[in-house]
Amino acid sequence: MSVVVLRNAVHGALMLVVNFFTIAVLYAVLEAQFLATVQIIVYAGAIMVLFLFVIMLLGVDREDDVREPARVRGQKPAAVLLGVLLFAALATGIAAPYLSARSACPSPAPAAGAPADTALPCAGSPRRTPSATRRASVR
Amino acid sequence: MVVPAGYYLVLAAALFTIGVVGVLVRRNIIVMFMCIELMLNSVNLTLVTFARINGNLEGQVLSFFVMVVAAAEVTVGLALIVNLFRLKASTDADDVDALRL
Repeated sequence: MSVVVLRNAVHGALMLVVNFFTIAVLYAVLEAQFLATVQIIVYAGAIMVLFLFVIMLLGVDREDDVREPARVRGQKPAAVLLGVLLFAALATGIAAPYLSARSACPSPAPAAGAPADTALPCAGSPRRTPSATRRASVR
Repeated sequence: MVVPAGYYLVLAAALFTIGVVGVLVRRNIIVMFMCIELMLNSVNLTLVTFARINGNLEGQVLSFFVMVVAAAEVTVGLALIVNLFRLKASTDADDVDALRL
């Protein structure tokens, strides 16, 4: 959010660095440690260095304010409205079938006594039910 | 404490929406480019989440490819921005209208 609303591009870039680190932490939580490492090295290292280099090269004194009116009339309210609509569509279309109590790594609570398949605990059952509910919600 | 997978997807949707709104609202080319990076990251997060849900590695492999392509795209795009700045002496997206009739 701050990437968009901050008027100084350098501040927006630093907020983007914070965002990259957060996503790297989420990758590590999702058991994608290699991707977390690559995210930190490539994004927070290389890409942000390139961004800050170009921002400093082109001069940081040129600031454009989000609050100044756009040259096309009514562009910004229309953009925000379309953004809200897009978020609603994405959240209901993609995320809503998975928003139940089911987790990315299903806890062994439903099969507490049974010997769980410890090698790949997410390979089995969570595949069927969300897709079934998604198909049901699509129709 | 386990987080439901839908929360990751909602977060990715929110990040993608913020990126889209940023591209639509801002006029600075560099900030628009950073918003494109934000959208690529949200798609990566979605891919990794679905790879975790399905218990395979295909989403992570695809996410890695997206990262590589994004890194290459950033270098090309920033070179374009530097050349545009040398040509136009501004980073405003509305100043780039050489193809307008």
